[in-house]
Amino acid sequence: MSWQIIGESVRGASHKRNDKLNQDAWASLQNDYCSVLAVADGHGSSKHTHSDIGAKLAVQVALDLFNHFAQQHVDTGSNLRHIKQSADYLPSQLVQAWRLAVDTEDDGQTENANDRYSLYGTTLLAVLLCNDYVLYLQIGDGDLIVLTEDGQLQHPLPKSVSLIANETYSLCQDKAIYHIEFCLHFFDHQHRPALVFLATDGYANSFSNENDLQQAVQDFQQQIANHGADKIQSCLADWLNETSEQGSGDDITVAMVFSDYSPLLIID
Amino acid sequence: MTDIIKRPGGAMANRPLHFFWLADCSGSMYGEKIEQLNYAIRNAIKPMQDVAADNPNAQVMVRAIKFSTGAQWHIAQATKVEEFKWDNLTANGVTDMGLALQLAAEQLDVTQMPERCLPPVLVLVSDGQPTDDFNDGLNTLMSKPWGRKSVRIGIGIGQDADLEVLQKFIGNPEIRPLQANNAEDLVKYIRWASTVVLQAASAPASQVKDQASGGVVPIPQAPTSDVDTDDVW
Repeated sequence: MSWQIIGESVRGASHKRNDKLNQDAWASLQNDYCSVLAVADGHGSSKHTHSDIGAKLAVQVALDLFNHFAQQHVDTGSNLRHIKQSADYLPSQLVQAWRLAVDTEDDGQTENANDRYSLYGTTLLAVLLCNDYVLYLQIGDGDLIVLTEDGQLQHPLPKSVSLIANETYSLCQDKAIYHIEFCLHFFDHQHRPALVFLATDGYANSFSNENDLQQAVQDFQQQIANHGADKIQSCLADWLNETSEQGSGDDITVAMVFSDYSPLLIID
Repeated sequence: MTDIIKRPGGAMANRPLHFFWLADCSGSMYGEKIEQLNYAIRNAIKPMQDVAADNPNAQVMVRAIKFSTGAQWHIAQATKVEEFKWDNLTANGVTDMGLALQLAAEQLDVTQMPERCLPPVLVLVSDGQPTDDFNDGLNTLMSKPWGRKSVRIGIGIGQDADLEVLQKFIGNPEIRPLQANNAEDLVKYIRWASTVVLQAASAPASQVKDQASGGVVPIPQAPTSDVDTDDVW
């Protein structure tokens, strides 16, 4: 089965008004054995002045780590049990790799390690799709939503009810690995997803309720089926800019990976 | 023909920000103090509306609680700031501040205020000491998720205001209670809370959980007291 990826990141309306950078980032990777997609939201406050870079490092680290993970298990022909055991190490490997990337980027400018990581603080959402399994991972706010082939919406990772008022968990936290949620689904037990949707919190915060967000995910799938991925990719920036202007005002990043099917219907 | 494709999802919505006045209407406020408080809040409406208009991504909703012998809603309905008007308060009775906090707490539950809201702002104005169980009221307030995450400002009117109680209400050592010793100070502080604090709360950056030592919203410096005036409360 092959997968397609589209995504976009826009600077928030309030960030444009206040002359701030886009602190979100996203990246994707596809090869013969896996598809990887990652989205990150740098915190942006005065304590996190390099969080735009931290977010870029986070998505790149996720891509590298997941790609390596997938390749390793293809090369060694790992069984499902072995894959599951290896996945348990991913949170610590991720935090370690992100910190190393920050250390390199910071190049000794910030002596205290906690202060250094805090400057680059960011969330991260990522998905790894392989032939036999899918792996979801999240730290901090944002939405990771799965649309199944029969049209059901699922949240494979638990949502933290304690996160309100713009508070979030972060890769920069001392005990970041304890705040990483991840899960692994094998396709011998569970259906493949039809679409996996990742978004930073600026997107959900632009809707008045969860139902409107879920509707958006279903609409995206329908629009892709109707008009093709390239057309929807070309519309994304305008849609997200409009969403930020009329909604949360925050930076917004939306990216999705979906099964590669022919458009069902072309509308003139 | 160029396709016009509908944007996915339903209607967009900006984020609600609930602003609460908690005003002391006890007997000691009678006369000039209550008159000046009414004046100061009414005087701050237009600047408050201007600040809100500058950020279309937040919808500021205003409510007010008055407390003396008991606590009541002065503005019970969350009112859009564009439609916010101020009816004069009158002063009489004791200082049931704890009951006022309990009344506010009822509205700070996630069932009343969804998680996409911006941190609410509570401005407590008092000239004296609580006559009821203040700690009980504060505990109730802080038991609510939005109570803990709220931005709390305390303004004491005159020399008898209990600044220690106001500091407990604020719950953040980086923000001190403001002491208004004259009408000019009161106008200045009320305007600061209605504009500068509102602005800070309406566009907060993300804060890492358990690391927000200064509260969920960094609050800019408050104006200083006007010590030169002769007209001191």
